[in-house]
Order: sequence, then C-alpha cells, then structure tokens
Amino acid sequence: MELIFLTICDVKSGRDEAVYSRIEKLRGGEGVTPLVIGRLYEDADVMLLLHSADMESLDDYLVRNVRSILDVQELIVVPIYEFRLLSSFGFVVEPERGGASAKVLEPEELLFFMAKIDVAPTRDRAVYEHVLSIKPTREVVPLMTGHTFHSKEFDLVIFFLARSLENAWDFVKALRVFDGVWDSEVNLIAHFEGLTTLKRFKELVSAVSARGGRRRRAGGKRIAE
Amino acid sequence: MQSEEKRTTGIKRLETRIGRLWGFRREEKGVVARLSPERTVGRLVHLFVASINTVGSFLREKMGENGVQSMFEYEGERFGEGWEKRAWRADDIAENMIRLNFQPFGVEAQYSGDKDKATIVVSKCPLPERFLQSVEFLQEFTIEPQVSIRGDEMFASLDKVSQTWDWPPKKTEICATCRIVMPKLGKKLGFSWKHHITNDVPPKCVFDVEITKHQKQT
Repeated sequence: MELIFLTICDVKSGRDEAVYSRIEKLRGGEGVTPLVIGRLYEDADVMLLLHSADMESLDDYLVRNVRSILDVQELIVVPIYEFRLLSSFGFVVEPERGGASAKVLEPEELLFFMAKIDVAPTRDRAVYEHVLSIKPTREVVPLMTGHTFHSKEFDLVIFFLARSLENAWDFVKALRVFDGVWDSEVNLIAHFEGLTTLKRFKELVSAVSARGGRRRRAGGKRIAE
Repeated sequence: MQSEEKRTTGIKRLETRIGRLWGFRREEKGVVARLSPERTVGRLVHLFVASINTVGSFLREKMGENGVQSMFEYEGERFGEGWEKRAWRADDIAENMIRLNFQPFGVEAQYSGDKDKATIVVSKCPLPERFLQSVEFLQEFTIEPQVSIRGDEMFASLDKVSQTWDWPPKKTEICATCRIVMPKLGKKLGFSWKHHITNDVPPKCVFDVEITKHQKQT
C-alpha cells in the first residue's frame, strides 16, 4: 500500500549543516522516494516526507541512508494516511530560471508551517473533513493534510502557509475551537526543498490519495466518524 | 539539486541554501499580484528618487529663472504656515532633516552643532541625476542591488557616468532640489539654511543651519 511518511530526524547540536547536507542528497531507490526535506525552526530537526509502498523497504532505506548518519540521534517515522493536496496546492510552483529579464513573480513571502493536531477519539473523520473544507484566505493558505495513524501525540497533520506568525496563530486558534481538537503543536518550517520534481510529487501524492479514497469507500468504518 | 541555481518566490525561507526551492504564486487571470510590503517601500523610494532627479535636472537647466524658483519657494512658505511660533533648535533641525528626509532616500550625512547653529555634511547622496529619466518608470527591473550608488559616481551627471565612465567627470554637478525649498521655509520659521559645496572630489554638500535673531528672542 502506497503511503507518505513523515520523518523527523533529531540532529546532534552543532552538526546541523553537516546532517542537512547529507540528507538533502538522498535519492530514490529501494522502493522509496524522498519527496521533501525541511528544517524545523523550534528544535532544528530535519523533516523528511518520503513515499513508499512497502514498510520493509522503507525500514531498509532509513537504516541504510538516514540512521547511518552518526549525528542523527533519533528518528521518528509517522505514516500519513489519506494524505491530500488541498486546492491551493495548485499554486505551488517550481523555481524559475533567474536572469535580468525574468518577470518579477514575488507577490508575497509566506511562512510555511506544519500543525500537528491531537484529535479526540470518535472525532477523527469530522476533524479531517473540517480541515479539508477550510478555504484559503489572503492571510492563510492550507496546502496539504493527512491522518497520522493516531500516535499518542498527534492524529492529523496539516501543512499551511501564513503571511505572518499572527496569521498562523489565528488559523490554529480557529482550529482549536473545533469540536474534537484536543491539542495542537505548530512548527515553523525554517527552510524546505523539494527532493523530487513538483510534478512527480503531485503524481505520487495523487496516487496515495486515490488509493486511500477507494479504500475508504470499500471499508468506510476504519476511521471513526 | 544543489547545483540548480534558480530563483523562487512566495515562500519565505530562513536559510539561503540553493536547491529545488518550490515557490508559491497565487495567480488568477486578470488579477495582478501585489508587491511585498518591503518591495513596495523600495519601489516608492526608487520612484521618488527618480522624480526628484528629474526635478533637480530641470531646475539646473532653469537655474536663475524666477518663475521656477518662486514655485518652490511658494511650497516652502505653505509648509511653514502655523509653525512660526514654535521654538526651533538648529541641532534638532539638522538631526530631523537627516533622519526624516535624508536617510530614507539613501542620503548619508552627519551633523554637529548646538541649539543655535548646526552643520550638516552630506557624505553620500544618490539623488543627483543617477536615475534621471530612468526606464524604471516603465518596467521594474530586478537589478536594483546592482545599481547601488558608488561614492565616486554620485555627483557625476548621468551622461558622464553611463557613456564614458570617466572619473572625475569633466563637469561635476550637485543636486539643486534640497537647496531651494528650505531657505524660504527657514526664513518664515526663524532659521537660515545655507548650502555650499566642498572642494573635495567628489564635492560634498554642506548645510549650515542657524537660528535667526528673531527666533532667539522669541
């Protein structure tokens, strides 16, 4: 079964650049495709989004390529189920070629966040549907979301852009009043890069979403309503 | 991905790494995206400097013609209405002139003096003719960092700089605009505002501010 995996690498203090440089050179193979690398502002952890259809392949890949890095002290791997690109993800673009004649494309500089939401039992589906229904505004743009297999700490992840810290807080505050949201944790993604082309990223995520949708229709009671 | 030297827009990053930096561009047909606040400020300054230079150039051409000077002196008088009773300090005037009017446009200057008399010495001024008749009125170019003003060019007229790059130029010029409004305004408010240039190459603008007798008695 194809899934997206959120991987968070705890990096030894002072070795941030060395570790990041090694991880950003990861290439696909062994049934695993690295999609995105990012650095989390709060803990200086390196975040990875990976795609794989096979858990054992993923385990081999991580052991061989990530856990082999001496300065990666701890690794958290969370599978994301029903990972969806939201409508505004269509505005994400590949980098443009530079040059004096290039059109100036910068409309605004939005900050990139990852919110981890702890959901009350019985409310998974409702909270998920609520997140899917959030419309982008000038200030906040939800990009992608998914269930995180109901870990102790968080059950839902949502990536979003916000114009400012204040706008991000308004967004999270509004989420927190929704019935079923128990707790939240927000990470500012200080830096991120695609490790594959945007086109390939969309293809892989779309395949995951389609499969998740079919699966849900076939056995719709797997996630609490 | 490291070697891909591309530009990206729309998503802020706190690191300057080069990589596959996906951007974000919310484009709707017919809707023009705004510049960021920082770039809006930069753009306004740029346009203002360009227009000031156009005015400065025009004034130099027409120097001595009463009609033009009267127009600016009239402006000075109008600015001063209602402020005649205030007790002005020469050092305050100098400090505020630098902070409020010079620095926002990239003019670097220092002042010395006291409440009665102060002197401003301009060490760098981007105004003179640098952006005169710039095509930036028509198109925003992305070369702004490259057009920063070099000290050895700032008083050279554009034709000298852009066509020959001779230094020192055969004819150095100074910007006329900051010399015209203030004297009349100062007379109205109670201080003198005199301008002269040094013999340095390039020359430096110096402004002497002195509270007049009338103002001191007040």
